[in-house]
Amino acid sequence: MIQLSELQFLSEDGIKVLDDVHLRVDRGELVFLTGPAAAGKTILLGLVATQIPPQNGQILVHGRNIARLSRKKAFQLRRQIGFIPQRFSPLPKTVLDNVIFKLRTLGDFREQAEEKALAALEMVSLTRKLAASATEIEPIDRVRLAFAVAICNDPLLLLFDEPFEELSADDRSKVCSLLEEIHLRGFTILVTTRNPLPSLIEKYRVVQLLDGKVKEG
Amino acid sequence: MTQFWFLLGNLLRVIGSRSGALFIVLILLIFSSGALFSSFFLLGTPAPDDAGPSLSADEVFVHLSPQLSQQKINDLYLKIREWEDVSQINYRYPQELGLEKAEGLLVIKAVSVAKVTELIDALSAIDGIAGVDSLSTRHADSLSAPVKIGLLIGLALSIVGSLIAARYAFAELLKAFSEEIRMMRLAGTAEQVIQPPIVAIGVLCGISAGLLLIVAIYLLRFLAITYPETLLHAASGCVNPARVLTVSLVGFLLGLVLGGLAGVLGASLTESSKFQVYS
Repeated sequence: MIQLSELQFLSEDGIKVLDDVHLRVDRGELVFLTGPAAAGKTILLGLVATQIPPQNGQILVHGRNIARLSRKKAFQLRRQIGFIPQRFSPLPKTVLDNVIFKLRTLGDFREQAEEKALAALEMVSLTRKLAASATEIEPIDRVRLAFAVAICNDPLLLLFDEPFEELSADDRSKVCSLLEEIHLRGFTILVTTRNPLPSLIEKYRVVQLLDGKVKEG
Repeated sequence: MTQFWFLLGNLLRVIGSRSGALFIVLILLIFSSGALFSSFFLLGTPAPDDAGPSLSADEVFVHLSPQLSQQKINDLYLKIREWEDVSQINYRYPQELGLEKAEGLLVIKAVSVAKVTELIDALSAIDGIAGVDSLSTRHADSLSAPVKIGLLIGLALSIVGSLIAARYAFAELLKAFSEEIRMMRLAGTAEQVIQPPIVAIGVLCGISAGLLLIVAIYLLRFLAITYPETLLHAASGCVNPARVLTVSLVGFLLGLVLGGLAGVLGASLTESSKFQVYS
């Protein structure tokens, strides 16, 4: 599903953020990418999500080389990636309308979008807050909403950047359970985190990004 | 199309008081551009010395063909006198009006200024009439050079002002819509979907300004016809309905083009790093 080879990335001021990164994530896998702050996790996710233009190395997502994609093909690939960036900020709309917004801009009609949005919100257990203002919900519900937005159009790959950030230990554990549930539905998921991982996720593959390189385990 | 209308609706909903005020300024500046453009064709006083003897707004001079016999001129006089739109008709010798012509002319006074055009059309269809002269037919090129230069400078300034106002109005609007744009970029919504509704907002501004201009031009025509003594000599182009219609339509098109340009400028702002997922 994801294949990174000899990936390099230099920041604007010439600092090596990623240096000869090799990483493979297979279809249906749930992988945690850990590392300290400013290790390059967000850059790596941004590259895979086609949001940051690649510099050196090869990035294959779903068999397609990102560097060689036309603008149109890159947009098509983005539609198959449910990407939630760090500190996801919802739209100043209701919870339901946040999910509907994404689906409508991707071309769904109102009824179709509403149906898919309700299914996604049900999957993340947020149907009780459909009419709540998304900017006023609790942090844990904000993460649930982010997940719903990511999965609503049934993408092939999910990329979550620091979903545990600013959550209590209890809420982190709930998010882990939610990730497991989503994973069980067949999604391929890559999650970055720098917070200590709750014991639940020890059964999944964890890779570490340190000094610009990826290390397993 | 479903995405276009959905996004246009969302964009219109996020227009706040500040961006709303800026869009009103934009509409007024586009309107000013159209009004200044129209002034070239509608404003100005006819120059009697160059064009012929002075005449009032409701008068029409009918130049008769030299081949017409006195009997035919009399018949024509009697025929025209019976028309509903004619309040007065007189035969004048060219010398009376200081013209260096052999043939005479009929001076017709219409019942109102608004009827002058219909009268001209009817007269033009009659055999034996060499030409028809009225305030509206003399309008062309009646503005002085300094006035024209002033209008041109005003037009250029209002066009530049429109684009500057568009830049600020759209920046303000897009600030309120930035999270939506980021979400669309994350979701893989194509630029061809994101940008057209923004251009459409500019086009809507152009349409509003164009409609305002049409109303203003027709209001000016109405006032010029209602108060000919005070207004018509300053806006003599307003007498001719065909000219008024053409200027209105061209002015509307100018508004549309300026609005479209403003929209394209606004849409280009979405390329800024502020609206990217990673800036």
